[in-house]
Amino acid sequence: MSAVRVAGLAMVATVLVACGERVQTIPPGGERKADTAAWDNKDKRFLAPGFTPGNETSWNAQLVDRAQGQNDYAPRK
Amino acid sequence: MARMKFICDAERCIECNGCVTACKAEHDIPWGVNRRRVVTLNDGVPGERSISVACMHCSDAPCMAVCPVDCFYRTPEGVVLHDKDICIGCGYCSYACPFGAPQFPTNGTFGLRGKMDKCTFCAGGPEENGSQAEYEKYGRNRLAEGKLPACAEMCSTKALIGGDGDVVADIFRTRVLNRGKGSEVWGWGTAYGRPTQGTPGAAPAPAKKS
Repeated sequence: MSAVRVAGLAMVATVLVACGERVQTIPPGGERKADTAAWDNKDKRFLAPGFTPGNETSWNAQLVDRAQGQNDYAPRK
Repeated sequence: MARMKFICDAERCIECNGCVTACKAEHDIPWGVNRRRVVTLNDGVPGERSISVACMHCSDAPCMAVCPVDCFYRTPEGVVLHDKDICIGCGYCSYACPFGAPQFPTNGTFGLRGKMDKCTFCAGGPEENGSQAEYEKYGRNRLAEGKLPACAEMCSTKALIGGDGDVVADIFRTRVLNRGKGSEVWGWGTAYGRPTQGTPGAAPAPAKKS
């Protein structure tokens, strides 16, 4: 393979790298997307035991409970 | 629920970098990006102190103030997040942030600087909670799973504490009061109340008689 052909292939490969770029066009409207509430989760694979998705009270209780796991001075359950 | 906050106890941090590793593993963070890192003062000198630093999810975040495309937002829990579909990767937030939290991966075309990446308090971003799109852009959403940030939950010495600001402050206050030192530092009263407040078993001060 000639040096010219190698150089040509390298140049084509370099230029085509840009084709791997994801589309970044902002959807019509252009505003920021709204985020969902932290306790709304349809993915049930990795839920903490005791937490019911969609239930804000359960979520709050779960987080306070887990935070106490970082407290050496809290009574152990 | 108050605002989500981190606090790092410099008396306990042993610079193990476990929090950094947990963060990178949990969110599949690319090479060259550190959402969290451990900073050591007087390294190698007796009495050195280490502290784990990431986005502090400021109440009045300078990154939000300077962003020219307004890609930042704050969740009702006080977590500062950003929309990577809006971010243009300009780097203004990086200059504004006093903690060096914004990171820029070299995943753009031709290895150029990509869109900003930072600690999300394990709360994902503006995509459906737990979706693949959220994971790819922002990492795992542990908050939506009823969990706290991975870095704080796995800290072996419990130096790094994360969660509801009131709970976190209470844990730290109890710890310092039991330790017997630390509450004399400047600003302690503003942040955590008088050293006598919250002492386990402490009797309330008697009222003065006129």
